[in-house]
Amino acid sequence: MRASDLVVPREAREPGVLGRVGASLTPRRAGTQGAVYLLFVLTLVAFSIWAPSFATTSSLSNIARDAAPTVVVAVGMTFVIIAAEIDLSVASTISLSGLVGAVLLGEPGVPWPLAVLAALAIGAGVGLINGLLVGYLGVPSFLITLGTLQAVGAIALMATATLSQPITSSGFLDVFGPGSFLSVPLTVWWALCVVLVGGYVLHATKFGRWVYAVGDSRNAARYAGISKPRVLIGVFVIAGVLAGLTGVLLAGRTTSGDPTAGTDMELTAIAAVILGGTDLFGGSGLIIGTVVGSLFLTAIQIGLILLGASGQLQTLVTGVIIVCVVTMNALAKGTRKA
Amino acid sequence: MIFEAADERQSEQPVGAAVSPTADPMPVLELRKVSKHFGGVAACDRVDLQVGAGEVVAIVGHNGAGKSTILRIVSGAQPPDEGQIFMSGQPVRLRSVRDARAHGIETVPQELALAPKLDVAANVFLGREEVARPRLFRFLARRGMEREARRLIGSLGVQIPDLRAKVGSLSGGQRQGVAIARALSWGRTVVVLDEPTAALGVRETEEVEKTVLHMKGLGLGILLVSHDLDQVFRVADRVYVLYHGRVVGSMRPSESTHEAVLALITGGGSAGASVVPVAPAAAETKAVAP
Ligand SMILES: Nc1ncnc2c1ncn2[C@@H]1O[C@H](COP(=O)(O)OP(=O)(O)OP(=O)(O)O)[C@@H](O)[C@H]1O
Ligand SMILES: [Mg+2]
Repeated sequence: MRASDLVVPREAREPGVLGRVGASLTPRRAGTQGAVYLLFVLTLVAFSIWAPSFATTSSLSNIARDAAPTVVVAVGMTFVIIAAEIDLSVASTISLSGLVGAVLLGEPGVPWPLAVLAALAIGAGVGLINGLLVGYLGVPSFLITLGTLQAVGAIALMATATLSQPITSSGFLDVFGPGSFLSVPLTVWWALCVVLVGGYVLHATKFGRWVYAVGDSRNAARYAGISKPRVLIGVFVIAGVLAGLTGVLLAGRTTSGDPTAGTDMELTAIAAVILGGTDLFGGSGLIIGTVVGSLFLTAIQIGLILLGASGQLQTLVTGVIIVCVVTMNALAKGTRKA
Repeated sequence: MIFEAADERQSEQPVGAAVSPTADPMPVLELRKVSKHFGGVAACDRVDLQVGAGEVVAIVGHNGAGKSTILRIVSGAQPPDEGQIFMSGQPVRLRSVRDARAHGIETVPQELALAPKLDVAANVFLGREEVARPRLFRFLARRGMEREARRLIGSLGVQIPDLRAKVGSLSGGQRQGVAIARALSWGRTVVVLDEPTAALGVRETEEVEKTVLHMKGLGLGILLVSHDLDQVFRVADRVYVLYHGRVVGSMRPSESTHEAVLALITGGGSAGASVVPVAPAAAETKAVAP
C-alpha cells in the first residue's frame, strides 16, 4: 500500500486530463462568440426589414449616441469581470456623480472642470472602498458592491430630495453637452477616448496582464508575485471613475443631474460585457467585445422602439437575449467537464 | 557514478555540524525548527534543513508527509507557525511569494500555478513582463517575451509548437515544462521544485534533470521533492526523509541505498535504520556535465 503511494503521487495525474479537456474548449468558445456576433448581424438585418427607418443614418447615429454612456461604464465593468469580480455599485455612482457635478456647476465660484473632477473623484472614492474591502478582506464583491449600490444610491436621493438639478454652464455643455463635433455626438467622442485608453491599459500594459492573471488563477498570480489587492483596487477604481464619467456624460446630454440617472445601468453594463464575449468567471475578454455588446443592446432597444414596442417588451426581449447567450456559454462550458 | 569524486571530498567534512550557521560553506538556505500546523495536525514538525549553494537537496516521504508544506514555506506561499529561516546566514522573513522572490527563490509548486487562459509566453513572464522601447508608453514587449520563452522552453527539450496556445490547452508535460522554464529562468539563489517531472516523458525528464544540474553548476541551491527514488539518486547530493512531518533521516545517496531510504520512508526510522545527519555539500560550483 505504501509502495503504491510512492509511485502514484496524489496530484500528479491531474494535469494530463485537464490539459486534454482544455484543448477541446478553445475553439468551442470562439464558436459561441461567433454565434453571438451572428445573432447581432441577424438582428440588425431583421430590424432593417421590419422597420425601414432603422437602417438610416439618423437612427444609426442614435444607436451610437445612446450606446456611448453604456460603453463607458461597461469598459470599466470589463476590467472588473476579467478580474473575476463584479461591480453592482456603478449605477448609484453614475447617479451621485452626475448629480454632484450638476450641483457644483450651479455654484458661481466653481470652475466647470473642477465640478467634473469632483464627479470623477466620487467615482474613484466608491471604487476605492469597493477595492479595499474586496482586495484586502476578501469579501465577495457581489455583496460589497450590493451594499455600496444601496448606500450611494440613498445618498444621491437624500442629497436633492429626488429633484433633478438643471445645468446651464455653457463651458461644460460645450464639452459634455448634447451637441456634436465633426457631426459626431460629443458623448461618442468621449466613449471613443475611453475605449482607446481602456484597450491600451487592458491589452498593452503590465497592469492589464495582471488583471487577466488575477481573474484567471489567483494561485498563479500569487506565485507570480502579483499583488491581488492592488490589482483589485485598480480595477474597482477604474470602474468607479468610468461610472463617474458616465454620470457626467448623462448629465451633460440631458443638461441636468438626476439622482436616478444611473438606475439599472449596472445590469446593462454587465449584459454588454457578457454579450461581448468576456468570461463571467474571469480571465478572458476584450474591450472591443464590450463595445459590440453595448451596440447590440442599444440596437435592440432602438429597433424595438421603431417597431412601436412598449418599454416592458423591450426589457423582456433584452432579458431573453441575455438568458440565451449566457446559456450558450454555460453549455459550451459544460462540455468541458464531459 | 558521476558525483563520486566530489562526494569523496565532501565525506571528509565533519558529520553532524550541520546546524551551525557558521559552518563552511554557509548554506544558502537554512530552516531551523520550522513547524506548521493545520488544526491538530503537524504538517511539518520542528524541521531542520539546509541547502548549500550548488547543492541539490531532495525531500522524500509518503503522501501527506509534509513535503509540499516545507516547499510552500520556503516559497513564501505559506508562512510557518514557528521556526526561523536563514539565507546565507541572515535571518529572513518569507511572508509572501513576493518576499521569497525578492530573495531570489523561485518555485514550481506541485499544482504548477499557471494561468490556464493565458498563453505560454504570458505565463513564463507572469509578474515580470518586459516593456518595449520606447519605454514611454510602457507597451508590453510581446515579441521579445515570446522569443525568450521559446528559447527557454526549447532548452528544456519540451515540444510546444504554438507559444500562443493557452496554457490550459497544453498537455500535462508541456505545462510542467512551462512552469519549470519560468522557475529556472528567474531563480537567483534557490529553486524549489515540487515533483517537477511527475507528468514528463523520459526524454523531457532527462532534459529537466540536466537543467537542474546546470543550475547547480551555476551555484544555485535546488530543493527538490520527488517520488522517483531513481531520480533522487541520480541528481541529489543529499536527501531528507520526512515521516509524518518530521525529518527522520538525511543521507547522501552516494553513501546510501534505495532500500535504506525506502525503509525510512515507510517505517519512519523505526525499522532500525541509522539516522545520521549529514552536513550540506561544499559549494560545488564546478559545472557537472551529465
Ligand atoms: N491547507 C491545508 N489545510 C489543512 N491541512 C493541510 C493543508 N495543507 C496540507 N495539509 C495537511 O498537511 C499534511 C502534509 O501535506 P503535504 O501537502 O505537505 O504533503 P506531501 O508530503 O506534499 O504529500 P504528497 O506526496 O501527496 O504531495 C497532510 O496531512 C495534509 O492533509
Ligand atoms: Mg505534495
